Parts: sequence; C-alpha cells; structure tokens
Amino acid sequence: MRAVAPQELAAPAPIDRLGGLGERSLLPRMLGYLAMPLLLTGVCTWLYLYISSKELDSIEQRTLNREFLTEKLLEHVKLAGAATLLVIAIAVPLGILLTRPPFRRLTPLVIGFANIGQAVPTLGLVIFFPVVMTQIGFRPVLYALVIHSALTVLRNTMVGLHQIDRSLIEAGRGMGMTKLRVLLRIELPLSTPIILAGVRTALILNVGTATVGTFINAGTFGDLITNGIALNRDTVLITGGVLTAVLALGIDWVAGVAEDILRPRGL
Amino acid sequence: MSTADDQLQPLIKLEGLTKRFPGQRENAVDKLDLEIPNGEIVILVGPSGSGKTTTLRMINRLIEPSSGRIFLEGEDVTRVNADKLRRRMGYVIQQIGLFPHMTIADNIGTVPRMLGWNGKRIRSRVNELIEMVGMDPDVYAKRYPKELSGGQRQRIGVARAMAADPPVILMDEPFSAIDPITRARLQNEFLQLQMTIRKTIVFVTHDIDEAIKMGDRIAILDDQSHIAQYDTPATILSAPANAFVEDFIGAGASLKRLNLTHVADVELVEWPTASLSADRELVRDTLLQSDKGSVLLLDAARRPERWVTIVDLEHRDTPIAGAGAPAPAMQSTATLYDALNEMLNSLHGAAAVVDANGAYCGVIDIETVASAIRAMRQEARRTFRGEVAGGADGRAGASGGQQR
Repeated sequence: MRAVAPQELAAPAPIDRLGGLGERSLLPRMLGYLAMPLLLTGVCTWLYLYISSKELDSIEQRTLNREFLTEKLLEHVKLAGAATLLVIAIAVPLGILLTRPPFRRLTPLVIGFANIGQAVPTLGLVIFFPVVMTQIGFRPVLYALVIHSALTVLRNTMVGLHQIDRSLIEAGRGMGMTKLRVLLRIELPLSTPIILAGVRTALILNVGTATVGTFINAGTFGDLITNGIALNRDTVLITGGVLTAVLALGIDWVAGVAEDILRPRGL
Repeated sequence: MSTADDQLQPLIKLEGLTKRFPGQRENAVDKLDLEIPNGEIVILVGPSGSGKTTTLRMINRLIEPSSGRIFLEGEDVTRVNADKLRRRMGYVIQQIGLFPHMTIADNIGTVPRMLGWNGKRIRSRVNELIEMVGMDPDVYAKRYPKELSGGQRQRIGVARAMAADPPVILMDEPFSAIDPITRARLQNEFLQLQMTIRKTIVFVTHDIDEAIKMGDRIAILDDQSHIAQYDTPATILSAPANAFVEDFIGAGASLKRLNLTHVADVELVEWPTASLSADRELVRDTLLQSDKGSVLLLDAARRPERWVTIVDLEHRDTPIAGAGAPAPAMQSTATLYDALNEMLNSLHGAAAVVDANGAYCGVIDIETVASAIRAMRQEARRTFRGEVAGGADGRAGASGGQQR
C-alpha cells in the first residue's frame, strides 16, 4: 500500500555551486524541478476527467465530491505532517545525545529498540496503540507512525554526526569554540544533508502509511481505498490510490527542493 | 639564571606537566619543565610516541594535564576556562581543519566573532590576513575551502590562527601533509612572515630537518616527553647532548649544520682573476704567480664566467673565452650547504660568490667551509660545557637562560 519506496540513505549528490552560481547549470536544474509538478498535475487532470466522464451512483457520489476529498486530504496531511514533526522533535535530539561521549554506550540499545519499531508490521502498531490506549482516531495512529518512522531519522542523524571529519571538531575546539558552539556551528550544519535525507524518507513513509489510519477511524485517503474495496466501487478505489500516490510524490518533491535549499554551500 | 629583563621572560612556562591517560600504566608526558621565550619558534621534535603532540595539546588544554602547571604571559592558566584560554592561542593542525561549509572569510573570522568584534572590524582584519599570507582578498574571501589548493588552504589555516592576533600560535605538524616542493615554499613564506609578526610559536614535528630549518630553539623529546636536549639548532647539531640526540639527528649532522650558516657569515678567499678578454700569456702569468690551481675569468661587468686551469691554457687552439669550465655564481644569502654542493659540482673545490648585482666578490673554498665547521663546533662545545657546569640538574638546557 506504500505509495513510494523509501529513499535510500545516500550520500548527497555533489553540488554544482562552486565557482559562482554557474548559470549553465541553472536551466537544467529548473527543468528538473518542474518535471515532477507537471507530471502530478497531468495525473490529477487525467483523474478528474476520468471521474467526470462517468455516471456516478449515489455511493460513489458520497465519496467523490470536493468536500469529502478535501476533508480526507487534510486528515491525511495532518497525520503525516504531525507524525514527521514529532519524529524530528524526538529523533534528532536523541541522535545528538547518543553521539555525545557520555551516552555513546547506549547507542546499541536505542538503535535496537528503534529497529523493533520499524520491523513490526505497521498494521500491528496501528492495532496495538488503540488497544493499550483504549482510544481510536488520530492519536493512536500518530504514535504508530512515529514509532514506525523514528529509526530513519535517528539513524541518519547519528550517521550524519559520525561522518564529520574529527579534525574539524578538533580545529573548532582548538580555536576556543565551546562544545555547544561546535555542535551548532559545525556538526549540525555539516550533517544537515544526511539528516534531511532521513526526514524526507520518514515523511514519505508516513504519507504512505497514514492510509492505514482508516482502520481505526483516523480518516485519510485510506477511507477511499477501503470503501472502494468494501463496496466494490473501482472508481473510488482508484481515486484513493492515485491521490495517495500523488500526495506522496508531491511531498517528496517539496522535501527534495527543501533539501537543496537547506544544504550548506561549499560541501 | 634568567635575567630580570622583561623581554626574556618566557611567554609560556610549563612546570612539572604530567599526563597519564586513563587505563595506562605509564605517564604519556612525565614532569615536563619547559620555558618558551617570547617571539621565538620553539620546535618540539621527537620520534612517534614521544608525547610531543600530547604536550602541545596540554598547552591549550585540549588535553587536560593530570598534574603540573601552565603559565601564559606569567599567568597561571592551568585552571582558567579552557575555551576562553584557547581564544588567546592560535592553533594550526596537520589536516588544517578549515570548515568546508564556511567561506574563507568566515573561517578566518571564527575567533574574532567569538570575541564579539563588530562586522566591520572583522572584515578588515580578514582582508588584512588574507593579504598577509600572500593571497588576494577580493578573489578568495568569498570562496569555499574546497575551491582552494592544498597550499592555499594551509595559508588560510595559518591566517585563521592569527585572526585575533594571539601572542602564541600552536602548530601541530602543519606542513607534513603537503608535497615537498609546496612544503618548502610554505616553510620559507612562514619564516618570512614570522620576521614581521614575531609571534611565539610552538611547533610540533617529527622531521628533524624541518626542526632545524624552522626553529629558533629545538626541544628534542625522548619517551614521555623527557627533554633530551633543548637548545638552538646550531648547538644541537654541533654538540648533541647524548647518544639519543645523536641518533635522532642521524647521519650527516655536520652537513645539516651547514644549512645554518650563510656565505655572508664566513670570510671569502682571494682568488686570482683575469678578464675574459685578457690574452693567454697574462692569464698564465696570473695563475703561476698565485698558489691556486686555477684562474677565475670575469666578464666586463665583473661577473664570473669560467674556471681556467693550467691544462686548459695548454690547449692553444681554443680561444680563452671558451677555455676551462663554466663558473656558476652564488649570492651571499646562500648557505654553506649550497656552497659545498656547488664546489662538489664544479670539481674545483671552490665556488664564486657574487653580490646582488652579480659582480664578483670572492671565492669560498673547502678550507673555508671546514674551518667554519670547526669554529661552530668549538663555540658550541664551549657553550654546552658552560651550561652543564652551571645547570642544576645536568640536563642540557631544560632551563631558560642559555645564550643564543
């Protein structure tokens, strides 16, 4: 059901910003940026025309209208967005903490725990939280998503901080930078590309997985998919699937642009 | 022993400095006493594992000493805030450690920013420093380290260390990761720079040749940073304190010693000369009247042209201007080492010395070099013996008062 395969933790592509902001590379890059929105617009247009061309019965009409779709979109984005923000708020500080000498010993323990979170089937987590919390809806799904996607950000934060050349930290300390300043001015900026790659992966993961929220009354585009299957309405099923995919790709695109902008220059 | 003169008060003084790393049975640095005079380049040199880098890092307390005390400008800094202390000391490491995500200007401005300088003052200081290390601020200030060559990065590393004008700069093998040609150039530039800035520099290397070239004083460190000898390069080469120092200097100490004396420091020898346009008989007479084996022919501007021996003069078929062997000249800023090299190349046992305009001033021969070496030895022995007699612990020169 996941719409997009998670991005692998890859080294950031070499940037072409050296020697002035090379005008030559600007045009191809703009075209590269525009390709995905154009494709997604095309897909949405096709979907719109496809649905408009059909006689919708009353069941289909109940889901395939602007109000319902907007509601589902908002539910979906809210869930995935909140989960990702929560993951950043938890995993980045935790990753920083685990790379500091006093806490380094805890690393295997925490990583092991995070591994379990990612290894357990999502559906299991989505069932587990409502059961222990005796509550359904937004919050249990949110927690399930956080547990599920925390590892990518945690691991990337730690990898990002580990791969920094030790001599840079030594140079910083040797010049009289405090440990905090070294962290803020050197370690974090230099690990930004890798941390962002992790955040992007978590975000896509969450957009895809949020569909499962439908099973415990958290709405999302998952409603369209389950309705489509349960009521045997292919148009509804297709709309749900396509919109989830479009949303995931669109958010991935935004995250990609953000990565390019936030990556420190000179690397 | 040391005079009361403020100039001679050591800028840095280490007292019984000791470091034992956790889980180790022996001290990495053991009760080190060292005084580093103001405005000098002091080299810590020793085999790997001798604790020289540990010693350097204890001076700016990147490694906290287990015991002992550190004084900077007379102030005990063993317990002061280490971060603030480090802002008073420049620090250059082998990997240079320029921050890749910051421009050259931002890299150099790191310490001034921490010290709270305003933007305008930082900018002008940055430009001044980039210029000082021989680069163009307009071209390089806004560049990133990646866009610089290794040599340029090293220069910026030095500029960054001097940013807030600290009285002392610590350098940990700053030139050892650079190719030999660039290294020699950077060393020369740095020595040139030091002539004007007159900083106190503590410099760690494992390369004794670099130590001899760069140092005003060299501390040769044995295991656990025990000082085997602490003295000027000249004294260390002429009068090694013990077998360890002798071994460490390696073969050819006398040859290395020649690098420390310049042609200008020795007396030149009178040599028979003749004009390039002189006739054969005159040249022959000049040669026979002298006790030397050859005549040096000079051109109209008195530039040395050719060495001519009696055998060359027998060949009547070649014109005198083409007789004998070419006579390359050296300036008086060359070292005796260069001169000796030239003599061996020319097979004449002598090298012609010229002034800045290229005009002949005299000749330096093997005898001159040999007597220079003898004089240096005697001088060094005298200094050395005087010190051992005067020193309390018999260890050569660990204390500050020896003559330069």
